Amino acid sequence: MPDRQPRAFTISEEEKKNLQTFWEIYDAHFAEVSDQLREASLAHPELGPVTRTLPQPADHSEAREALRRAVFEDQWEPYLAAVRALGEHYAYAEIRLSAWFDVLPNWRSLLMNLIVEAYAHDQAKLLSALAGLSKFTEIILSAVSQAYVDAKEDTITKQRAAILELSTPVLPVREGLLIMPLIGLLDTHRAQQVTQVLLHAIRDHRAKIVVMDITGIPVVDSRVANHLIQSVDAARLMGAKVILTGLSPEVAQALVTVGVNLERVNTQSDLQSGIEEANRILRVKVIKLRDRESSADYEDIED
Amino acid sequence: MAVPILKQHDYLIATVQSTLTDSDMMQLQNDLAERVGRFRSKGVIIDVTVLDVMDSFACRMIRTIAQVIRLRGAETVLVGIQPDVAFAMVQLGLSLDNVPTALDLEDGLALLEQRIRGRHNHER
Amino acid sequence: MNDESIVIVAIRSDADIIAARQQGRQIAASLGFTSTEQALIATAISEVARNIVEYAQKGEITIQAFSERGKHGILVQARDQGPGIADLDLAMQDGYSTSNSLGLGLPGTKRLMDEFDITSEIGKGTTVTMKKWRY
Repeated sequence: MPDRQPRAFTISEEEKKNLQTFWEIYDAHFAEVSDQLREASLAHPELGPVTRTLPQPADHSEAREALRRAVFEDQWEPYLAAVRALGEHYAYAEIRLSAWFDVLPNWRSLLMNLIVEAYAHDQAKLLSALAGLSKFTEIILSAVSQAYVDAKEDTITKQRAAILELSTPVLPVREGLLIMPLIGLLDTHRAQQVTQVLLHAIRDHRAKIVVMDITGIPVVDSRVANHLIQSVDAARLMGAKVILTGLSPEVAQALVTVGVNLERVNTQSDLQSGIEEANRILRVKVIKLRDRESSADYEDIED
Repeated sequence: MAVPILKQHDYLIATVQSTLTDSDMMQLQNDLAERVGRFRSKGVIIDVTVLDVMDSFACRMIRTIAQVIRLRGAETVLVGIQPDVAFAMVQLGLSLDNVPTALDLEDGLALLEQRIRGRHNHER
Repeated sequence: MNDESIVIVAIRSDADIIAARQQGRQIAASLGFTSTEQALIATAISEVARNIVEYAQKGEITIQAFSERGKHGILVQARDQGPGIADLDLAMQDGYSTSNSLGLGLPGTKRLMDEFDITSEIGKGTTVTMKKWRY
């Protein structure tokens, strides 16, 4: 859950008085209004299933007290935090925000009727309470909408990370050696993501060599090449060598012609050659299993 | 001492503890130069794991420190550059030229050993 | 941090450079930038703040949340009343492998951010404006 500052809102003295006048009616009928809202939610095809899973408090005293503190002591944060948590719950359950707009009008009407009933003969209080209801609705809707937006953004961030992980696989081959097959177009944004995945993988796997295969990148122009060179340089800062494979001779030639300096990049023709080169650098001898019987000593790393 | 320096056999290990001011850097340079001379150290590890930013100035200072250490007859290896820091450095276009880098202390010591052995063999 | 507050860091010494970039990182974090983006922003601030210390002796860095046409991001400005830059075009000339020992590091700093603008007048001073957007 992103740690976001709640959007600040201000309440003028007049608005505060109105909220208090409204509160007198709301608080007096709190149970009735809350139960009606819950009934409406339960009956709603979308909200219902989620509302059913929510625990129903034994009584409404806690909520009433929190609201009282908000309206009379300016302590809105605890009350709004609860509203936001509720909104978040529905948002993560993938209920559309608009579903709320199906049940809120009834909640509002009920309150309006109660207000009119109570203050039919006191116009000043009537107007004040209605204004209070209006301000209250605004505050609640703002909190719920914010919770929705935050939850959606959080979901998007998580999904983006998942997509990135799927599209930029890092394959540990052996200790100190990783393979990164790149597939698809490499624009600036994606190239930066690739570099970050590469660098974090180097740290997480303590890789000394990464064989980056670009056979699956359809277009390798000077911009892509420079991104790759940047990756190589960044990897070097972390003590790792990058071997680039899958760069066809024609493309390599074209890049050199355009002025791209591939000198400090270790390139091999294909993945197999890249791995062999990596083994050579890591000084690892790979002995096929069936030869094992015939060779007396099986040294994995020559001195 | 802003950057504590440990002696491990023929090596010195300087571990940066927090963001360094200019004078901290100068102090580090002086401390390392003095100790390399005093202990006749063969190699120095500078560990920047905690640094969250390496800007052009920091890079210049590291290169200078490595040069000073080399003049005293020792090799330097920089370790601990974090992924985000490495990324920002290449975006900025910084290079550490002749200062070899390794992932962490363990790899750094191995690299020092390799380079010193190589230099020793070359000088034979 | 809401859209109204702005952080101003006076830059006079190298300690202020550290303060400025730490503020930048904090604000970037509160705005939801990834840790990688925070590193880029902090580094960019470090570079322009260093230029102030080295060439103008004093100036200020301002950092604020920023919105434009539905996009949200961070706005950083580095202002000084120093000698100014004689040839802006030359200073902004890009060359990926410049070693920065003489230059102001401006082309590199530009790469760290999404938008980069610099105005300078000889004898009057320099203002660098940088923006990074949240994706």
